[in-house]
Amino acid sequence: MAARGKLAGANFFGRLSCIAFALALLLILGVRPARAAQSITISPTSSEITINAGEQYQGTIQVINQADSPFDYKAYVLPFTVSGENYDPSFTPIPGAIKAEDWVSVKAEKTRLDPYTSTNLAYKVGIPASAQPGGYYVVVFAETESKPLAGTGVITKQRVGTKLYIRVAGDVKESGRVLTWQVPNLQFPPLKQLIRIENSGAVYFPATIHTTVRDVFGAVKYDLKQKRSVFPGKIRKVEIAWDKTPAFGLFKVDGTVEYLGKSEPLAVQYVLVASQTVRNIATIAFILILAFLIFRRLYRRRRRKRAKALQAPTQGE
Amino acid sequence: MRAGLSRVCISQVLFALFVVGALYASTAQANTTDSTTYGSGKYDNCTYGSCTITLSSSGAVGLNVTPTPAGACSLASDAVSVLTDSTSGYTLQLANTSTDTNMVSGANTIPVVSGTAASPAVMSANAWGYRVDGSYGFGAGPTTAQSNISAPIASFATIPASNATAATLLVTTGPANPAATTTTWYGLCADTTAVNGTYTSQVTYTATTN
Repeated sequence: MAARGKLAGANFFGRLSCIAFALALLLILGVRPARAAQSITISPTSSEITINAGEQYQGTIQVINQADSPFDYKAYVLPFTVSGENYDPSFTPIPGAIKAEDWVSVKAEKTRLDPYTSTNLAYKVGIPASAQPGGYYVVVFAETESKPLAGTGVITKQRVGTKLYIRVAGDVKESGRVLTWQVPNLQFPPLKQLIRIENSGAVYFPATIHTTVRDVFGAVKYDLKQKRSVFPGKIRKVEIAWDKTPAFGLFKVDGTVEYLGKSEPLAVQYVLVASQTVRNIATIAFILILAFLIFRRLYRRRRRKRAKALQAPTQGE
Repeated sequence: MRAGLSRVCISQVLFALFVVGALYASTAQANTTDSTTYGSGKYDNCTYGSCTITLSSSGAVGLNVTPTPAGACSLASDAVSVLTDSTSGYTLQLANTSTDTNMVSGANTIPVVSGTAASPAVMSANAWGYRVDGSYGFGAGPTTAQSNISAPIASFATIPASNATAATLLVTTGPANPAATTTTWYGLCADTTAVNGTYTSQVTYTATTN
């Protein structure tokens, strides 16, 4: 009997542990997000190289497969230019421009990547002795090879790139300035900041933008430090949006832009953030207060008139 | 005297609003505490030369169509995901892999639609194109996967050739971790004048940090 009880207890605990195991498995496997068929990663996404004319530089880029299926990939180099203040990237050759992409060669350790493996992509930058001092910009791309498609449709390939900012050493004019620092004083969320930086020199420069949003008591609410390259003869517009801005608040925004060896402060700006809902509530509250004040005034005037009317016969007597 | 009192009352209300605003702002959850800890684990301290970028998508999008005299269309999507800790965000672009933007089946072709992202076009029979709901001039959508619906369908854009400037699908201004997904829809319309066959075209997604 006792043995049967023990057996029943063992069965109960056995079932319980079985259910717990099944639940755990469900949690681990069931909740796991569906993985994309192809996933390619590159690291780093940019590299700055300063080199003398006639010299060589060797570097390495890592390519990673983060998907469940293997893929073949190829690596190649393209020129890198930008257009507009938004810096829309373009990788098509510009007629008549120096072909800096021809100075860079890439060699992959292997061109097939198994799931969750990585490989090194070695690249070599060889600057011709005749190259002029200045900036040259290229991208090393790693691109997946296409997968077959059964039937009509679109075959998609993915490519990710490492930008190489190559600077051939020598005397080059370097100059720039912060053109705009704009933070509207009344905003809807998210709180936005706009910075425009001009490069009036002959070679690119990196600008480190550091902006901070504080409440009026000085506590830091949002802090962002980012490095942006500014191409020669171009203006770069940088928009910063605090994606977790609350619906209502008064904030103090300031920062610095570091470029060409100097640090330019961004003047303190005060911003009142109010969402549409908050504005609607404030408008209704204002109307109610105004109505209350008018009503109170009218009521008092009426009471005064009545008091006067009551006093008039008394005075007459 | 009373008008003065009302003014005082309004100024008190405004002062109260200011105080409430300041206090509310101070209670807002900090995104960031310092320049190296970018808020509650969402942001990373990936710097200029050490960032990574990951681009994921399905690899192929099926668009089988059974042509009708008036034209039939099929729509299918590809979830394009980008993951990066770069504080400057990323740009996602789309272009054809080749200079020939047609869908090809041997010697037969179906041309890409002529609209652009800023000004997408209504797609009639014997054309193909892409759209991204809520982006540029495409309209909010939502687009759903459909097979053999009546032509025409709105609104689709051309896929630029490999030697032209690529179409920009998305530009972000901050880190994307967890990955941000851009659902790219492809549409194909065909009528019975199109020669039967398996039509394909190849496109390339490009993701670079800003």
